[in-house]
Amino acid sequence: MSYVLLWMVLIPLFGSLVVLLVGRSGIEHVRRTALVNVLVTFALSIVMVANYNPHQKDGLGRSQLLQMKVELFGSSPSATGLAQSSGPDIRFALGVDGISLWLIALTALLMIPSVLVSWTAIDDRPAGFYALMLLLQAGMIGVFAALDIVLFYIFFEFTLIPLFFMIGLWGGYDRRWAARKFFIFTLAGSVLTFLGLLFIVLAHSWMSGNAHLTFSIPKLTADIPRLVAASADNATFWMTYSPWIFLALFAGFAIKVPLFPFHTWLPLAHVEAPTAGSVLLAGVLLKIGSYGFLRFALPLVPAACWGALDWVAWLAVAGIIYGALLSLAQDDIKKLIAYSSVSHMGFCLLGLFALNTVGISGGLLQMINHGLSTGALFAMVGMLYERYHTRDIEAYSGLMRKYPWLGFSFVFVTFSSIGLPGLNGFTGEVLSLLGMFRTRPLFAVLGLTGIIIGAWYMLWLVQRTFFGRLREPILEQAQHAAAGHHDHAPLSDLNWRELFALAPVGVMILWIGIYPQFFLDRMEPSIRQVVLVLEKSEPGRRTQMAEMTAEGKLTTEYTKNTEQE
Amino acid sequence: MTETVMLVLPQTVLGLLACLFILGASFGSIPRGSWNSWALLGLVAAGCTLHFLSDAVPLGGTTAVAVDSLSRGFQWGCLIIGALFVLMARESQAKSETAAEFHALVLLVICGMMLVSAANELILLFLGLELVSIPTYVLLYLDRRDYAAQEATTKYFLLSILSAALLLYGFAFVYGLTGTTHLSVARGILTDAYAVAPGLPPTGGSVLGVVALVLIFAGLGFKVAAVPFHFYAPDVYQGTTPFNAGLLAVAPKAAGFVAMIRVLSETMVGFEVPAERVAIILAMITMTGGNVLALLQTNVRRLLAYSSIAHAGYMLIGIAVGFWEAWNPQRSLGGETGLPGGISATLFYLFVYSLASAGLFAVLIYLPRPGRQIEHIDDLTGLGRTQPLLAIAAALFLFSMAGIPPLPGFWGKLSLFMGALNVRSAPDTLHYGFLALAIVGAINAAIGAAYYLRLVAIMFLQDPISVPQPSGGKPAFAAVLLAAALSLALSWPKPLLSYVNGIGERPGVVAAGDPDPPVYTTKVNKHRTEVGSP
Repeated sequence: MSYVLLWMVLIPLFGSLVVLLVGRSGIEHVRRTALVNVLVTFALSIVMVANYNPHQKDGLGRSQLLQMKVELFGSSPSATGLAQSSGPDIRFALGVDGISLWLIALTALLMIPSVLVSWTAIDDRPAGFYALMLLLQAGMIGVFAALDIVLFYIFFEFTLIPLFFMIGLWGGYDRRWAARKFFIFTLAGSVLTFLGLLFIVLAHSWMSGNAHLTFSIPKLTADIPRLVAASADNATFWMTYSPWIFLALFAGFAIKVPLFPFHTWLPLAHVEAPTAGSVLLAGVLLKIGSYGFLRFALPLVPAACWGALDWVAWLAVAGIIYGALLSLAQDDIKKLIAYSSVSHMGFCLLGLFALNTVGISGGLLQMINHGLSTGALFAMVGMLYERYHTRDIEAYSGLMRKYPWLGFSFVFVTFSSIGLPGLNGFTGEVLSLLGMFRTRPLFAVLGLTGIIIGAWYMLWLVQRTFFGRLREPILEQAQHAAAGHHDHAPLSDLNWRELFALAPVGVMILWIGIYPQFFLDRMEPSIRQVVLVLEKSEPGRRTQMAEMTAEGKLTTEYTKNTEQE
Repeated sequence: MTETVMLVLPQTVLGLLACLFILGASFGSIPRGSWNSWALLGLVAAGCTLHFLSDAVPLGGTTAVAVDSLSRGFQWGCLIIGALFVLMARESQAKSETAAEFHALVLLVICGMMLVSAANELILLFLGLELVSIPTYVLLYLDRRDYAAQEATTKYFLLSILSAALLLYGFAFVYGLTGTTHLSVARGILTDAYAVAPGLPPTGGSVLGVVALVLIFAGLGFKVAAVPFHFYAPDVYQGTTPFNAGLLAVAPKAAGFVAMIRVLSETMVGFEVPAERVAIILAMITMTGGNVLALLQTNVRRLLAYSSIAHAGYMLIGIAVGFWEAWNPQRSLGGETGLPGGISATLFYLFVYSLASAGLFAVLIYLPRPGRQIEHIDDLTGLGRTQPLLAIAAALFLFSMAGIPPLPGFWGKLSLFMGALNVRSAPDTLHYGFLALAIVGAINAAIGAAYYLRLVAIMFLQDPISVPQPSGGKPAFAAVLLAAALSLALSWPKPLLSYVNGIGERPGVVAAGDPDPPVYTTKVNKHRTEVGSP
């Protein structure tokens, strides 16, 4: 059972090899192998969710949020201090807690539509495509499950290479530039992030006076607040450096999210990527950025997070409104949805930087929601594109008559995306804004305007393409027929394969919308741990703490608190 | 005397073999194709002697030759990379009428590198460096005699002579300062003269020493192609054959760095602070200059020349960190931390870089049609379709150089940057200098990725223009695969990291068993607490 995470990483890895091996025997085998692989991983993710118990206690009665831990090639430092022959203490350690649980599940889920929408769309070198997609899946699950800083970074970069090739080989017209821009932007930020993470590792060793370097994420997140509180020297040291560490972390994660001025790579990559690439990029890869904030920035440099709150919130709000306005102006469906991602991810960050339980839960839930709804929207745009080979909004009108199922699904997901009560988007957005309202009401109000513009551009898109008089881009189709292309799908409504691609996403959209508590219950205990650290370094409380430290009360109270945890 | 000869037995084997080759070439009875096999056998023989030497000879204290973990590890690296290079040249030299001379010269270069690493004497060290340089002049002229090659050879020759002069001038100052050419003795004298307690910054020494330091840095800066001594590299690489370019990218650089470690890091006790300053500045401008200029290149070898300059910059980070660690042995990386300290990290990076370079140049040797080199980067267009295995290997080397995990280049950068971040409680400005060094290094890694990625994109994302007809022969292909296999194996870095971890520990400097070393007080240092790890 505890190996479920390991299998979720290994099965796609081996799967990609198998896909390459069966590649010679035809496309049918390739895509079936890929589908089986993805379904098995999804089944494992269900096992993972079913087995995750947020209230699990260990033998000493302490709650155990980090579960299903696996560790390979671990090397423990020898007691004699003669560990000179051993290498760095970097481990292949995986585990899941309330923060990563749903993101891993989301990854496994979104792989199903990704494989199914590529079914007929990718007929050029399919073995390579599916192999890369499975590699990407292994990387994405690994990023969320990694319990070691270096392992996290390895998986983080590992996601770049498959997507680079997916965009660069199977993408649209400007694919090569899009692939390189995507890669370089992400890498440029992530190297700085990695530097920040390495500094945290070193700082841990300095503050604890222990020469042994630990790269373990749970250990660092548990130790550092304790070490900072333990002595005044450590506290001043950490206060001096944490803004810089935050900046370093911010560089990589803000580009990945992407936050407002760093978003320019995103629309290009989205538009040029093949459908499956867009689904996974929007659905999962952007979440790595916000996940990084939640996993590293908030618990490790809480004071700097309070300090940066206003800046980040301004950028998030700017992204929400700017992204929404840009979406309003697009005439390409895919571009519109790409810019809407910028806007929606702003809500996630607004939620996270509310720095309280409600807001962070909302932000995390909004990450899942955005993955589901935007992933589904990209998948449907792909389906439309496969039929008509254009993404021009002007070219379509009244599709509802000819494609009732596609129309229904599109409208359904649109409602989810704009936050209709009863569907998932509502819960996430409300919680995020509610949390922010408690911290900084201004930003919540400003964010709210983004929801309104969001409803505007999405509904307008639906109105223009699906309602009104039926108008199809016939010209384009005739050209294709003349040119001897027959790779487009027949001009009929969604087939079973496409419905099956959208169905799991639809189910989740409804489920989160109707019963969000199921999801929140599992994430909240882990979030509360982060919030506990955050509350201790809230500016108002900090002075209070300083007084208490002076009176020598703090350490005792702190140990009491940690014991209670 | 006999002992000293024993200590350089591997080098002697190679040197004698080279002489035999040149003599043997006069007798036409030996088939041209066999020289390569003899050279490979010679390398194996040198490896055997090196292996048995490890146990046979006791460590000589005052000999002119140092046999320690540094020289031994470095020599193994030389032999492995050297074997790859000899393998690459097998096909092209099979019918060459200068095959014997060619192989003799390559063996001499390898011998020179090994000699530098083992030198405990300024004269011997200089001899080793010249043994790397002089054969290269001939090599540059041997294979290609067109106008560009002539220019390249002349340029390399003149600048190399200049650098040798600078180096000798610097050595003269060291001699003037200490009255000896013996490195261990010089270190002893300097340690006594500028004795510093561990943790205290060195006092700075005399002006004489600083002049020596700067001159030696300049002289070796030519060898490792550090900015601003790099001007010859792009022209020479472009003007010569891929084999020579590859050899130039690896051999003088390796020799230069190991000489830097021997003469500066291990000897110039008391001059660490000025040395740190020089190394930090050199590292920063070298990385940035190399990477930024590489972005603009369209000739493959020129691009790789600038990339090799940039890598010299990364390795200088380790050298700079090494100077700091010399007076802060208690707080260095290495040992229990599991990550190598500055000098060990430089050596690790050097090997990893050499491996990737050798592999890439092997690709360039293998690929071209007879009589035509790969010149423009567009010559690689669509390689992913036409030569998938080769292209994947090339991408591996490029990603490794770019520092994409988990390839060995990543572990090298990780160790180097970690070392720079680990510097604290230096005099304040220097402390920020090291932080800036790490940040500049990280940004450079991203800039570097841009042009490596461009090459990958050209190979994989574009349709082939023409089908290549490789003429480099199977051995070159085998060299590519070997280098790729080694790179992949090193993606699991613990064995090599722990191996280099043992290198670079300087017994004379570390005050072993000092229970309570005086600590240079700074803000940071006070923050160490007794909490311990829970």
